[in-house]
Amino acid sequence: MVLKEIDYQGFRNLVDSRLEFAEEFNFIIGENGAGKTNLLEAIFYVGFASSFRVREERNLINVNKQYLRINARTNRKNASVYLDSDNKKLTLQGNDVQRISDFVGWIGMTVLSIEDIWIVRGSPSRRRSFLDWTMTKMSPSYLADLMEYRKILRQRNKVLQSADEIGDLGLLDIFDQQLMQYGNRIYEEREKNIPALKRYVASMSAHFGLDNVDIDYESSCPGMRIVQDILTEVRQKELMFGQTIVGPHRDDLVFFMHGRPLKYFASEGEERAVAISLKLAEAEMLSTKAGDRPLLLLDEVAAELDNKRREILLGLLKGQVFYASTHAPQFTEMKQQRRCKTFEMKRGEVEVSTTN
Amino acid sequence: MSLLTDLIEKLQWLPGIGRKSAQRLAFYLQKMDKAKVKELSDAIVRARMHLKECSRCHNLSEQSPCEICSDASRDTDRICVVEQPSDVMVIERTGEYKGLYHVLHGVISPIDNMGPDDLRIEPFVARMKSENIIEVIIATNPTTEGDVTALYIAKLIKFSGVKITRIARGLPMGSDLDLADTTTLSRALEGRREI
Repeated sequence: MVLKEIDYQGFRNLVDSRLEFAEEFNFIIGENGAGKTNLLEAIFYVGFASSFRVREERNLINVNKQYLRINARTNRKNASVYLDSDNKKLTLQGNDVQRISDFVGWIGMTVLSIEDIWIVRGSPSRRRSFLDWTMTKMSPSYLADLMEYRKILRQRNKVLQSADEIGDLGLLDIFDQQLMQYGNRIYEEREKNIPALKRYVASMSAHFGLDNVDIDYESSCPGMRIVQDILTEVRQKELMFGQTIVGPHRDDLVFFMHGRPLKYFASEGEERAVAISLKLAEAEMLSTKAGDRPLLLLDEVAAELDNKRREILLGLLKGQVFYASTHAPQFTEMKQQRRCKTFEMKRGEVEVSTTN
Repeated sequence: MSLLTDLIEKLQWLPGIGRKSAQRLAFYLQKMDKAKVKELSDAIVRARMHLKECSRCHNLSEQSPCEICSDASRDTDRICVVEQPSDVMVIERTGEYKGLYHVLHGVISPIDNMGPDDLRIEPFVARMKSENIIEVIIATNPTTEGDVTALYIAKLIKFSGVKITRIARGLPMGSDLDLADTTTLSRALEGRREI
């Protein structure tokens, strides 16, 4: 899919404007604080009605405005997002959309950020969040199941915590059933997609000179299924902790290279390369699934790479690319080959845009 | 505080009424005929003062037992379990159902501190023992909490051996498959029937 144009009002520090994009490369150049990431975020927001940076969406509204609105038009579809302090309105092809899970994924997008290294290096929750985003993009009903599962978790944890007051464990049995039903839907979806993820991550990281990279899905439930036996087994422990301790929300991904866990020996450069490979793998999975390349949104990703890996990365970027960076890129050769456009930003405003 | 700001503030006690709506209503009331306004406020007070829970089905009514429970033409061996009194009204409007009701006044939601004991579940189980029931239709909302409540109640009254059903959920009538959201559609598929 190609994002033809976008117009936005009241989004963060961006000056209200309408931008037309090039079909292949869009360079977004500017100093720190000029609004580059905000522009990427605006593009992402109109695709997924949520931010890849903040949880509290109201922070996206410009401090001097009452609302934000973004309209986007691709070669095939159009969509809009509106947000004020009480309401959020989503439209697709001019029709209102009630559920967020029916909106996300109308356009595929993969964000590559400098923070991605934390998927490899950080806590398991980072990896689960990566996985949940990827699955959501692969299948929007995953998001609906995930939201339901999280609600059930909160309810079930409350029952575990107040088993004395709420009284009977009979209620816990009911929540066990619900936990299994929705947890196993999530497991099935993850199970379906993990093999492709492993395959693409291996091939992408091989481009960066890392051989034999592999991923293990570490499940808190044997065979990636929650069954009554497991719940019965951990019941006492769960009552003690007041937490649900098995299920897809407790699982992890472990990265290996040559059979050894990456976290024990990898350099920062290698960790970054694996993180980028994960995101490129996601983009490949989305392409295969939709028969259509997702937009690639890159936020300063190349800055931390050495020249060689930067060249490799640029060679791997396919489809429509939005490339935010403080410095105008050097690769003049590529600029001549591809259809590209440069947007120079200052204080939230696109000051110059040049088409090549 | 002026009479007007006082009224606007108090209207906001109602659910779904924010500052703007409250203002609009307050100003509208000033344009209305005085007798009409009196009629409205009297109706509010009368309803609140005279409605009570029916001792049998716990629906709101001026009398106890309520009109439905004391209607001899109704099937007394069927109970439809609903969350709120408003649900009784909706089902009654269909004219399809001739049995009795039981109103829970909420759903099980531990995070909102609503456990089974905060609902009218105990009196329901008592009814299952004392009345001659052959079918229970559980019509709680198709939400996580509604499902949990339905399963919980079903489990509690399993001893009775009566037929327990859950209302079907699926696509709204006259709607296009195209326009259905994915969740509704997948639930409708799950609940498919042979024809």
